[in-house]
Amino acid sequence: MGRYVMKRLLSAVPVLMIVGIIAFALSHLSGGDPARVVAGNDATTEQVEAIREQMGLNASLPNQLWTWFVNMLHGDLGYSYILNEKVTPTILSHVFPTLSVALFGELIALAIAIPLGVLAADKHGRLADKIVLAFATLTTSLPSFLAGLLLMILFVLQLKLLPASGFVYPSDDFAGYITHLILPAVSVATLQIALISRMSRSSMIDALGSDYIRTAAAKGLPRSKQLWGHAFKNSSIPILTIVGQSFGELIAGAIVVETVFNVPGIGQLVVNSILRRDYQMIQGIMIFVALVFIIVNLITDVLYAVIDPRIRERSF
Amino acid sequence: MTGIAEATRIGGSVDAHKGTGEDMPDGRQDSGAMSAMLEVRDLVVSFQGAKKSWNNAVEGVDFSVRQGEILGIVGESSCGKSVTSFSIMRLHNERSTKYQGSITFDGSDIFSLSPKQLRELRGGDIGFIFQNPMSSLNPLMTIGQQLRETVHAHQTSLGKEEVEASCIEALEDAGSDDPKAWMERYPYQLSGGMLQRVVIGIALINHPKLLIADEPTTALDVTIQMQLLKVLRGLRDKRGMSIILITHDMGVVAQMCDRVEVMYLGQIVESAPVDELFAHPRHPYTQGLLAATPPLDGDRPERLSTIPGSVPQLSEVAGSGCRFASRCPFVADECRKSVIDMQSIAERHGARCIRLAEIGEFRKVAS
Repeated sequence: MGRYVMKRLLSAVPVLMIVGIIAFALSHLSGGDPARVVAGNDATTEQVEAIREQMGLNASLPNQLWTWFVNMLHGDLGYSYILNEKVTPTILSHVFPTLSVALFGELIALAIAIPLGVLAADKHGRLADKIVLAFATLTTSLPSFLAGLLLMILFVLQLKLLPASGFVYPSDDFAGYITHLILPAVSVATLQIALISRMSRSSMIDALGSDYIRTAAAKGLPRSKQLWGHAFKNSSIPILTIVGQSFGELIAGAIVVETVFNVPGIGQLVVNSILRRDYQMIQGIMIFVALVFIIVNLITDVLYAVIDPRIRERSF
Repeated sequence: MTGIAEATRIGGSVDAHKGTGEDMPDGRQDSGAMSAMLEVRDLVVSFQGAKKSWNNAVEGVDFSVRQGEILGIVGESSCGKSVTSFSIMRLHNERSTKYQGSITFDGSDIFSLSPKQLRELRGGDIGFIFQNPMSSLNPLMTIGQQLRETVHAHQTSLGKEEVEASCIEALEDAGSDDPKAWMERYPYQLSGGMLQRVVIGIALINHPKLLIADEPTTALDVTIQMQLLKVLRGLRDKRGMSIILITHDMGVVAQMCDRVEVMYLGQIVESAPVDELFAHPRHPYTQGLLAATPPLDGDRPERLSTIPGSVPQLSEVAGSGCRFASRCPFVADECRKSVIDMQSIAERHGARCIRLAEIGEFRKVAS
């Protein structure tokens, strides 16, 4: 198991290398002189030259790439000359809010979508199934910013139950942390619910049609055992795949919801860095997002192996 | 299972079919009267097709199984053998299936059981062995888990050791040489023959009175087939179980069964004790099946005979007299005119053919 995880982590190095090269190329392909961009329009030639030296832009291109890559592997994603901060700690300080919203949203989505999908599969072709499908279609076609705004109108303006925006750290006020999370989490969950409930419905329908379910029925197992004990376990691999995929996207694409609810997460950092033309920060975020996908994929693969003994035997 | 016995209403459903009951040959009535464990009377199973139409898959099937008896149901593919056997445990999807007639097991009417009683019956008093062992076990659960849950579903009061012991006993009875090791394994780690033993073990773990085996050896190679059939026979001898054995292999029937029902296109066309059937097959379809089977001893013919054509769709022949008419070498005009009923031949021997006498004459002359 440990060896498998190590192997997978090592195999991530080439991926990071490719993303690293692309990120590196970003500041060089973006046109103009990076040092000039950093220094600003009013800077004197001497100032630009000093910054160029500081940024290591005088070294040859392969040398620059090598330095950037070695630093990256050491966790040093560079220095933002615009914020005058190191990139890595800045990203890390924005991770927690994004991760909170994403995890909370994913949990809400799973808690709603999986029972819905299983119910729809069990009542395949009947009214309950059609209602679930209609609900899934509705939530798919509802953009998360719209869902967020609607939720805000209902819970903040009408019912006055929840705070409208912002983020509170749990170390300061745990209740506040949760109440501030609910609305952004629910609005990211809407699309997830649609995805996951459709996937669990279709994979459950497949599983319910298989021979081992017939065996389970012939053994005298109650329907609930057939559904959750036998069929669900077998249909959880496709569900896990889609959850893993969409979870990565929740982190990478948190921009909209973070803007609507004013959550100081990665999404806001991305937007602000682009507006500030902070190439170093954007590079760092690219690497970070790639890393998130790699880790999520790794967790998904480990979970596959936990569920399926055949995969376990092949991988470990 | 006393709960089920109390809840029966045998009278109602049998009375409803008195009309056909009178047409039955005397021999068959007798076999039913001798306190049969399972009685299937005039069973009609229809499935919902396109545009809410109902298509009959099985029509007017009658048979009974006595305690300790092995009943064979034979016929080509898609003639309703599996549909019949699934109906005994009501395994069809009830929303798209309509049952008529009656199935009485151990005094209780299967079609009037509540869902709970039905669950108690399935895997309890009736065990079921499916055709393809590779797919009939859950790939993600160990053999032990799949055995244990079958015990737990029926006997809630047992302690951990007792459950374990009955799992091991069931696997041993199913012919496992190392039940403890098997319990730890996943299905993909066992061979097809081993898996079918596991499926048999699951079927008999709660000491059923009746075992239904739907082509239990079709997916396996011949040597394994022999071993498994021996296991099934041993179970009958050791536990006094009744077995319904569904197969398309006349050789298996000859080795295993006490009685045989030959099915063709959703109907039973001949019903007889096994020796009688092999010695004096009367229905042209049975004769065809036997002629297509290599003899167990004596000289082998150069070529085996075949039954011409293939099984037509039920919808193509329904209501137009004898269903075998399109492939029958002895067909006459009268065969196509009206529905053919079961004709009594001897005690407990019947065939659904109106030209039995002529066919007998013909065979005498031919030989």
